[in-house]
Amino acid sequence: MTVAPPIPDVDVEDLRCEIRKEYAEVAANPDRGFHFHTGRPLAAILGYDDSLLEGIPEAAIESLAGTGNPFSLGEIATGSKVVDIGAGAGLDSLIAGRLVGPTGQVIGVDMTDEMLAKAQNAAAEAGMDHVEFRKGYAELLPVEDGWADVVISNGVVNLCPDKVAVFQEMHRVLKPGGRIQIGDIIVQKAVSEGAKRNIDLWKG
Amino acid sequence: MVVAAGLEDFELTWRAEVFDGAPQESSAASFGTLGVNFRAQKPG
Repeated sequence: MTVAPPIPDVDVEDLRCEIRKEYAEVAANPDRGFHFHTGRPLAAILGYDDSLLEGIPEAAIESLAGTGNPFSLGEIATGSKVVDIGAGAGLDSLIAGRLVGPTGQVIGVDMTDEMLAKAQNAAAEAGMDHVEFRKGYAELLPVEDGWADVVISNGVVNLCPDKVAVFQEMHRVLKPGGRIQIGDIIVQKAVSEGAKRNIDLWKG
Repeated sequence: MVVAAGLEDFELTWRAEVFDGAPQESSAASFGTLGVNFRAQKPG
């Protein structure tokens, strides 16, 4: 039997508020300098092939703040349906949109208004009518059951206290046989209960 | 957690120190934080 870890004792709404503030700033001022890399330099660190970025509006690229490369984990076929959890300014959603083509669909979900606006503008600039962005939470996706062939996410699950709920939502929205392709983080040292309650440490 | 949610065939394929050299100092290094890629599948 697999036992899920306990959910950290942190105020979820306070955490979400602080995360939204941080990523609103990443949307507005991506070159300001954060405790993480952003944009094209980060894409290079994460192994994004230059071909993935071709034709993607710079506004989507500059606010990349992920921690991995979902596209290295499997082919996303033409005509597929993809959900991008924590889509940010839309880079990964738009890359997925190029890969699935106009016969496919992409739904990018994010909770930060400034990122959603940036992503929606980028999709319009790219002419990708089959890519849409919806406001919502990773723990409660605004996506119907069994819709997706692939769920991607990049640097988001680590910001959610109830990670099992996030993976359960991924399971719910996937078709049978569907895949998750996720970039995120792991820690190699134990995190104390006190540290788990410190919202500043959740943000970095 | 992934298996607890009903997914299977979990595989971690890559890990790297993605926060090294970031413009602001981060708590990441103190916890040995690494960026990772992983995949899994919903049973068919």
